[in-house]
Amino acid sequence: MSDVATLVGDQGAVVDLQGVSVTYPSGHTALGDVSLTIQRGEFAFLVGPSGAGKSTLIGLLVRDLLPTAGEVTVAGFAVHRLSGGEVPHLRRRIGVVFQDFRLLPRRTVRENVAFALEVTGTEPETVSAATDRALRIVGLSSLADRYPSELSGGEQQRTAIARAIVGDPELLIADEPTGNLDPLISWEIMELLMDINRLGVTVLVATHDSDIVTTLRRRVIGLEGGRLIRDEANATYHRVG
Amino acid sequence: MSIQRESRSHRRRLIRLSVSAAANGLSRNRLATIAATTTMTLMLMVLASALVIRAGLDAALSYADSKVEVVAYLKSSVSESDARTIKVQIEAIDGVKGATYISADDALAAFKVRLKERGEPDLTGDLDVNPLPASYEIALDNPADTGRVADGLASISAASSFSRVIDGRALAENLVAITGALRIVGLIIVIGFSLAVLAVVVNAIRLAILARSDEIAIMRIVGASATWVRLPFILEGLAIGAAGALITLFIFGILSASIGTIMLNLFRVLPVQTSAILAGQVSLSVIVAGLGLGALGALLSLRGRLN
Repeated sequence: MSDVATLVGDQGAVVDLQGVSVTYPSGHTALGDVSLTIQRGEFAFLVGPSGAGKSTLIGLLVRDLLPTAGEVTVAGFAVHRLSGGEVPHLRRRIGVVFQDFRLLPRRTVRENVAFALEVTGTEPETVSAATDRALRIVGLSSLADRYPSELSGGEQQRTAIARAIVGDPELLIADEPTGNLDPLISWEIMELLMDINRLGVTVLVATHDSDIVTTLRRRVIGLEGGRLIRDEANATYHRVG
Repeated sequence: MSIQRESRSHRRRLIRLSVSAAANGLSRNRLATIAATTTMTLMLMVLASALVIRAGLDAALSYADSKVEVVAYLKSSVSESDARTIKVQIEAIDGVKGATYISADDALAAFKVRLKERGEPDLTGDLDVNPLPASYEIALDNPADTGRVADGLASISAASSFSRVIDGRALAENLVAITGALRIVGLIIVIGFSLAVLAVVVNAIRLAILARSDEIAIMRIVGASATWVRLPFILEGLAIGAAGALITLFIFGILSASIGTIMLNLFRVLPVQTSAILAGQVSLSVIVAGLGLGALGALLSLRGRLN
């Protein structure tokens, strides 16, 4: 398990950013002085135009990037000073879902989901039980032996979500999860994410889909030009007034 | 379950999954695998040949060293009883291990034996007198001292009894120069081939990494540790090295009889009883070099790629 020294921060907060900036060697500031906290069990949207800094923020949370200034704490890990060897332990506490699903084509639905646990050295019995549970949550138990090419886009995204939650993460990050899906399937995916949130998992959804954000009226974190321009509860996609 | 047992089963799962991923990787990139294994085999054959040739040269050199001595030929006017007294003076020279008196008759007898061995006609019977001089064969403590001993022979009081002194200095120096040059050339060839092998192995593993980039990306995002991500590729490198070593040893095994004959012809002095030790040394070097280059190639391919 990870070093105690890196487990810090408010135990109620799953994500805590304090004065975080990311400036590239070219001088471009992708994120400037961002501070925000997401509490355990919250459901939040991350919105903003392309280039606003959403991907940079997600990169920081999963420690793909390091901040050039400020402190990042995720699931109790002080990400800004995390050693390379501890990064896998952080990532096991986070599930990530992408717009393009990123499933392995030569593996079945069940194998894709189980893969996430197998490669972290989990006991086979645990892998099997956790995979069954994740497939049940996303409603894919009956399609477990299918290959990704035999599934619809929505089913592929459900598989990706099952893979993201199979390790029982504290935080689920969905990066444009409905970007490749038609509106009806998009709603199904959003309902699934809310179901997972009701199970106690903190969910952060980066999206451009204004209908979904506005209809669901959840917390909205808005970025623009690398700056945090809004952070409102029960908000719509566009700022009112 | 105890922590120890848990970590053992964790290791077992790591190895099982890594071996299966490595086998998949090797079969998926068959062409790169074949190219890397072939180059590895060629390199190891060169290495094995260099080692065998070096062993032959070493044997030749040590034989020549043992034979390097100074020969002092006596004038025909020196009587046998006088000659025997010179032995004490010779053996008193610094660096001389011993002096053996070879009478003119002994020299003629040895000459006849040599002629017979070469299959040449013995015409010495036609001679009325023995034309060969008596001599002292002087063995040295250190073969490099031939010059000093030759100089010592010239300064003793019996020096006037010698018609000619031959020292083996030139022969020894030539042999040392030739074997030295051959060693350097061999080393350069082996290093050159090793670099080529590294380049091909690195290429093969990079192709494997590329082919599995989706899988690696997912492994990283779900929190697989660096060992789990890297081990399959290191195993692929080791497998290429092991395959190259086994093929090389197999080919050398088949050719060993012919190699033995060639070696015997080339270096007539190679002691036969060392061939088993030599085979062991060559096999060990080939296996270590194969596995080492395979693993090094894999590590170089992974450098900075899977962080």
